[in-house]
Amino acid sequence: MRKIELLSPAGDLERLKIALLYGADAVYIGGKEYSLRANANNFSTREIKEGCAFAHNLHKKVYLTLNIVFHNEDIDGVYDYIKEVVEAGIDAFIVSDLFIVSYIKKNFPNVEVHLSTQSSVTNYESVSYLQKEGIDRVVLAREVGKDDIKEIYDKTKIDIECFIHGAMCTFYSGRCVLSNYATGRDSNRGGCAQVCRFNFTLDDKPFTMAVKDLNLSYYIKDMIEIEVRSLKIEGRMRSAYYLATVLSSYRRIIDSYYDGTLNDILLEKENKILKRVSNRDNSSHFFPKEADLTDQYYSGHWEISNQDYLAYVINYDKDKKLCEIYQRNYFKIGDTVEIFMPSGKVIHFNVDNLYNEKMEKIDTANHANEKLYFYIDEEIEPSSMIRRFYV
Amino acid sequence: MQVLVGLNNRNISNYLNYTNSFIIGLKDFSINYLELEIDEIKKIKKDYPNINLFVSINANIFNKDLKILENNLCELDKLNISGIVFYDISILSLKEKLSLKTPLVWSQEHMTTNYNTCNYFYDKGCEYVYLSSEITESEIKEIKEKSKIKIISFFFGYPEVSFSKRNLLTNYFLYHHKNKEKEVYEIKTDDDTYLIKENKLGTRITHGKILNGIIPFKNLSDDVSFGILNEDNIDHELFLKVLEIFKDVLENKKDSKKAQEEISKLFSNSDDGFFYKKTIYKVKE
Repeated sequence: MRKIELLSPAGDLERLKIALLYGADAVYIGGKEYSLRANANNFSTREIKEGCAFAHNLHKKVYLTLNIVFHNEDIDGVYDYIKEVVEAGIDAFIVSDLFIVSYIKKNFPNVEVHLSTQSSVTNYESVSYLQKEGIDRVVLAREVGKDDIKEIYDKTKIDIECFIHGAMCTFYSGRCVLSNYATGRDSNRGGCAQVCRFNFTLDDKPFTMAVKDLNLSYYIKDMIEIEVRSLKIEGRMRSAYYLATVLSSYRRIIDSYYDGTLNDILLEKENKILKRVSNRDNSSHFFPKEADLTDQYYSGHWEISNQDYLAYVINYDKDKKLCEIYQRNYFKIGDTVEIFMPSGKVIHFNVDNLYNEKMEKIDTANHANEKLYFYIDEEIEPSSMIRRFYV
Repeated sequence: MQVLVGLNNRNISNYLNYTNSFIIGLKDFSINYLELEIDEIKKIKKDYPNINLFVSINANIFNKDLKILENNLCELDKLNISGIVFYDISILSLKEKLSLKTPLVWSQEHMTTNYNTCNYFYDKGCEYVYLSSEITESEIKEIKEKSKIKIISFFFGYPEVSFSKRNLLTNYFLYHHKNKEKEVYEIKTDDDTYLIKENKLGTRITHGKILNGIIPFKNLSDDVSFGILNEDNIDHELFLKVLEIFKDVLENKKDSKKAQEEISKLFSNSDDGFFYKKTIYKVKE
């Protein structure tokens, strides 16, 4: 059995590197054109090339989203763009418009084509058709449950990719243009304004359609056993800290399944971490059963923010045992913090010393992005992150 | 162009003064037209053998639905209907598997937006495309110029906005311990109104403003094969008046500008949608 892939979003080059360092087997990114997150930073061709080189050096992969629903005006230039990004080194395209598939397969047979969830594929006959068209992998609609996923795989043997974590759409992907009507922004061309999260009224009473985030961490074992090929995290707009946290947790869950150590205690622990980094409640939605009233919100205020993320580790000087960091949120001498590293190692540390850039002793870290230092005996990996520790 | 009425009323004879082309939904497989069982569709074709009847199968299809769908497609294929209007791509697979002869209408709602994909589906055996309501008149003209597929477009009615598998109304009323008392509700933001409706397949939202596309209907009369006027959620008598206006414009008995004003008087909550208004693609440069 092939080991399941953990697939991460990456909104820019920094986050691509963080995602791959923290356990993603592959990342999906958007270029400056033709991607469904027009509002993300997205990658220039030069950045795609650098990202692919970084990934390939780690024997990992980069998938490029080309998943807008094309209008006539978008067609000119797309073929040149495809050639350009293939030469930059991408491993697969994620598409939703079928006209592009045969062009890619004919001209670039070594590049995979994955069908985006935007196409809302929900059954094995559709998959069977798409296979004949040259689709290598299908990102199934998030409305497809466990039994249907298994049946689709059993009948087609296609590579199946499923979302496991992050924000959910209220409606079938590709089948919602609320954004177009409410804001004039085209939801199927990267402009989605998330109108489903707006506050509405029904008979003059508050009405919302907003849904909770997806969290399938308790079902990773099931997904591996029904032979899902790739587990996808949502969120090309998410922060590096969010990605590092979520990927670390899923990496541990996946690896523990394969080495036989997955148990309820580990799942509970990882879920506490996942919930802390999330800004909404979460739910399993359609995977184990049909979604119901528990998967939605019914009042207007549900977004929360936290200040768990304290600092990013730039470097560790082994000789001096000195850790160099960028401050992200307020902390002070006497706080106990948790340092989690790209390798998966986690240590706890009581902040008993802290220095500014001039190596003057300070008591508090209270300036965003300030470069600071502390001494610590244990070796800290570069790109580690420091978060608040809760017992 | 011919007028294609999205039926909301079983009495076909009411409409025959204005058109002989209709679109209905197949029970349990359709989300925005009058839903009929196969036997009812057979009866319509028997009673009105000369009408153009399109059957909409625009639900998202799941594995459990496929066997029933196959049977229904085989039955429909015997009826000499004018087209199967489909959303789910499985229909293309089933067309080949079942050797279906009925013309197919590619109708992936908001995704039917460019000439290249139209040509792709034409090459795959689709005779028609039902174009997205979010494209402009000039985009429709360009699609006509650059593809071989026959075009169906939407010109009057409440535009489809969103469809969810979730039971958004049922959940809302359950949560608030209230009873769902109406079939259709209005939901509002500060600036806008939408209609929300549920059936066993999920929840459908349409815009609260009626599309009054009589001017592009006239302008595109040589480019579009069928223009859809959907009666859903619209008073039957008013809808018949609208049909008469469209017929008059099509037959050059009435100026389209004047017709637009007449329809606007009948429906104060109407506009011309995206025919002359492009949506924004890139928010940030």
